[in-house]
Amino acid sequence: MKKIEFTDDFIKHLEWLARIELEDSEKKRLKEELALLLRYIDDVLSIDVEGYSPYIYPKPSMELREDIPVSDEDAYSYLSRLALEEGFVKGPVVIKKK
Amino acid sequence: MRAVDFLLSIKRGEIDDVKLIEGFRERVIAEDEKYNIFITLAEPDEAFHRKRLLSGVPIAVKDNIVTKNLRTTCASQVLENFVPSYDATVVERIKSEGGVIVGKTNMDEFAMGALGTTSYFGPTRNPLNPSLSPGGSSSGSAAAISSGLVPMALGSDTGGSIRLPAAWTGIYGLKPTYGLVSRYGLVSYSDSLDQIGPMASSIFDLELLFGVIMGWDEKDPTTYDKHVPSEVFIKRAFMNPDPHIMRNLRVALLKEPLVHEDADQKVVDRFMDYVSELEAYGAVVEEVSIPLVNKAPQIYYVIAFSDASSNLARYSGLLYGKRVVDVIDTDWDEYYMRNRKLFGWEVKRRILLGSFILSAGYYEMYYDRALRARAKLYDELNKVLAKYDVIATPGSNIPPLPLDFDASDLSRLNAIDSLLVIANLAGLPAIVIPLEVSTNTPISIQLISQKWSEDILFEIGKYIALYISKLERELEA
Amino acid sequence: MNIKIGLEVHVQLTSLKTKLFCSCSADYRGKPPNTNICPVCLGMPGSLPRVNKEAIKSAIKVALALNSNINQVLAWARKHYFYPDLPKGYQISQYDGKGVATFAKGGYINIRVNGKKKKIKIRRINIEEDPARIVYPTGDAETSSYILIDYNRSGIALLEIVTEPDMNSPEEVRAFLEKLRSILEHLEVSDLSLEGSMRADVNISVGDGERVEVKNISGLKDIEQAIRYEVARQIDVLEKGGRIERETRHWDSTRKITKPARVKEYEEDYRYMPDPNLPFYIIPDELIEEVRKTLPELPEERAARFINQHGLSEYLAHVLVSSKALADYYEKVAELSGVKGDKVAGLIVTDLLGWIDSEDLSNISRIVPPEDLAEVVKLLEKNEITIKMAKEMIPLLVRGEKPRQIIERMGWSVIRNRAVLEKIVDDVLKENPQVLKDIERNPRAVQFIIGKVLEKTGKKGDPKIIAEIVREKIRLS
Ligand SMILES: [Zn+2]
Repeated sequence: MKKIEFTDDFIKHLEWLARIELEDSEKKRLKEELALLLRYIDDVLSIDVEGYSPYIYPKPSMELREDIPVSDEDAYSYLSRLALEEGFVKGPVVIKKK
Repeated sequence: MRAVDFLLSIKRGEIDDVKLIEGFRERVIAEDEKYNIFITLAEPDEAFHRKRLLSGVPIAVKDNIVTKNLRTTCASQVLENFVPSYDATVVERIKSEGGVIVGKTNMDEFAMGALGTTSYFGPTRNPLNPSLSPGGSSSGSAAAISSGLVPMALGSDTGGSIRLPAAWTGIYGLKPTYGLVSRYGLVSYSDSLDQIGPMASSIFDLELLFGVIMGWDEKDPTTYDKHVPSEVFIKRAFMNPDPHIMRNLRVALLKEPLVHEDADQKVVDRFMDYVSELEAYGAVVEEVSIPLVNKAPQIYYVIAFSDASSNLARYSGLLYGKRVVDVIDTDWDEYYMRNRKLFGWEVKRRILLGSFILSAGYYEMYYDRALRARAKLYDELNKVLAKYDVIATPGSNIPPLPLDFDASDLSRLNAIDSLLVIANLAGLPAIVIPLEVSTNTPISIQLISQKWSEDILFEIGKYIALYISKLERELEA
Repeated sequence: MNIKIGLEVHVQLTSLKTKLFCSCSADYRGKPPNTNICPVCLGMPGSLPRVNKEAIKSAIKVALALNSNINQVLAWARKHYFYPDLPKGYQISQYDGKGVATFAKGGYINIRVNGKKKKIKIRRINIEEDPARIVYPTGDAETSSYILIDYNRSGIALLEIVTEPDMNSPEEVRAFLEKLRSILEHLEVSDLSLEGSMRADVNISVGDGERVEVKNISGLKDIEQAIRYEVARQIDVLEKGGRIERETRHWDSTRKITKPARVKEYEEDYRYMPDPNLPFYIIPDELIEEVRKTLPELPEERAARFINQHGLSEYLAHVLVSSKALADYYEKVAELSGVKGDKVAGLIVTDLLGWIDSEDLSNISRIVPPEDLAEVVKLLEKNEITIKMAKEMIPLLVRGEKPRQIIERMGWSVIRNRAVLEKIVDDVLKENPQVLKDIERNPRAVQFIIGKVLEKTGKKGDPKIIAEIVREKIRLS
């Protein structure tokens, strides 16, 4: 089992994974609470799960949908409430500015 | 007054449904200040369908269930100004039966919390005792009922979020079998655990609301089409329980919550008094032990945090919700990093930890293992349910916690979490039935049964309500 | 230097009527931005995906045609990354591992380059959703201060087809993509002539250099150009004694060069997980068999038929089947003219194709209706025009002229009908009785008669046939 060190780099990595920027006070708090939370959920590692496969779906199977188009006027009117440019949604540039 | 009685009165022409709703608005404005129940109130709508199952019944809806043209915030600053373009399937069904959505209730932010205290809009107070938590995360829905504002409400239950507030505010709450109520329009927290369920001041109303919202939905691929038909519940909501239901009812009394180190002895003792009453009415009660139950919350948190990190990845302020930085001033990395600062702390730490659990190298260690442990728990619970009709636990084995309780160490909630999350992890139906209310120590019972056997839970629930808890009779008086 | 190329091709299933997970129309092209959308493809909170059955059938078709092994359990995974074109913060895709599986594994496509056959191995086939379309307000990513997003494309069904790095030259890549395109066209799952319907990520390694990935190139032509550029670039670096590091590059389709992608602080960690909203679907054997039965004749079988039954040369047969439109065109012309074989195929491949832009191949029937070319073939067959004339006619047909018009205008039509000509000869002889008397003494009188007849046909009579008829008539008289 890997021992996780709550270094500044580790916290920075978590911020990047989750895309949430933290204040310095939050970083400090996260380090403290992560220690508590991980200690707690680490109990899962001690459960003997030999012979069990992952339980992902309480309802294990589903049906498929027929290929019949339906149009949704409400979704269009929802978007039209945003500040659009010629019908387009404006977004941030996809290349790094800094 | 129970909605079922009220509906019968309308049918008989004794009362005017519209006036009742008007009265509701005046009362809610007075009461809401005390308990902080509603995040958004609906405009008075008298255009509901007449002479249907819920005609004119004021119904409160938890604010993580989307409502067309009615703000839906999930009690988060992120969605502070989100007005959906569509109704959740359950809301559609309520409206088509004449029910009136009166407002959106306060909750823990994105349903993450046990005390109703992580809301961006401030905590909800417990109508039984305003210095205490009403339980979370469906805190506003429970308080709306417990304070007498509405007879029924919708909640959602991922790890006890309907049942804990029901237990702490002295009302009824049901977490249905996974897949029996459509999740279309329920803002996802942990998809394989989330269920919408009814909450009510009467077991009869609970059954009626369940009958209206339940059943297969083509928009939700995880709903079942094979189940007891909704008509059965709707019909039985107006009927007394099977008088023989207690005779030889096989009850497995789950040991772990009763002997938990954090369990409150007074609560457990009172609960055991009622268990004796069940026996006196003919139930066969035997103690069973499933030690894995004590680790169920840890299994639960691994799965729920991971799913939350995935489900909440969509909140960036681009298509809905609030922004800190606008698109022109930034690039996309920074845009996400900064706009997602708007989440509250509980949500942030769950997303951060969940992202980590799913990341390279840790998925197998935590997530995959939790899913296998979940299979094991499912197996052990179902082995018990093969021999017993129901598993019984207290609705809560502790009294309501104070609003300032520090839950940053989630292991401090293990006593209640463990008895609640097992039903979600195994996809089983679970009902909480109040037994007695008081300002500090409400007592309730939770019954868990096999999948798709809500009908049994309602029959037992009605029996307990009428003959054992005496709460329902007090309500009628 | 040894060149190794592997492809990750994304093709839209353009024949579907709806998107992969919602009922929005799949026909999004040409619609005003953000009009072909719903809560599901906008990733609205509370919305849930529903899998399009026809998409699965199309994917089965493709897997069978590529000799790939279909996983009986259809399962879905979430691939997480943050990008403004991805409304949920994850893409619903498929994955090999983590409790789920890729759609199909293995398989191959046979290609031929310069008459040599080669097998290109398929690694896997996945089904996934297309992200939204990004447009740059200035037309260029570098100079735009924000982007514009159109969600009409969001959620369109894509097939991801990944090859082994089996290709050793740009020519082989071209042959592979043409063959793949033709197979998809024959299966009638995709019309890859539509803008943006085929995109690819390309892995290229040269000599001892590391693998370089060129991402998101759109269209067959650009894919080939990008590979040519990148191979030449890498060879150049190596020959100058440089090293090729492992990196990701982007294709600049305006300047026709590859550029290094900006280095990120961290590698993207996709955090794949099973999508809990989409339970397993066990693909019934009957469904696979049903699809197998409806599989059309594929390019290779079609070429074999052309060779064996039409007597086509191998070369022409394979050129024809490289495009369904082309092979269909050939068959239509052969059917309408009653002539098959290299004569017809040659006219199409060596003459007609020379005048049609390869991008317009799918429109060949509209550019020169097969009826028109069939007429040319018939005229040729009846010797009413010469092959030289036929070749001259092709560019005029492409310009929209009709065969008869051209012949008229050019004065090429030839009257060979014996009955028609006999009648004219009879008329001329009747009109010139004294010439007939002179005929034995003056052999030039025959030429005079022929001249008169030709005059009467407007110089369109076949002089050889006229001479024959005149000689016969004189002998008989
Ligand atoms: Zn859609």
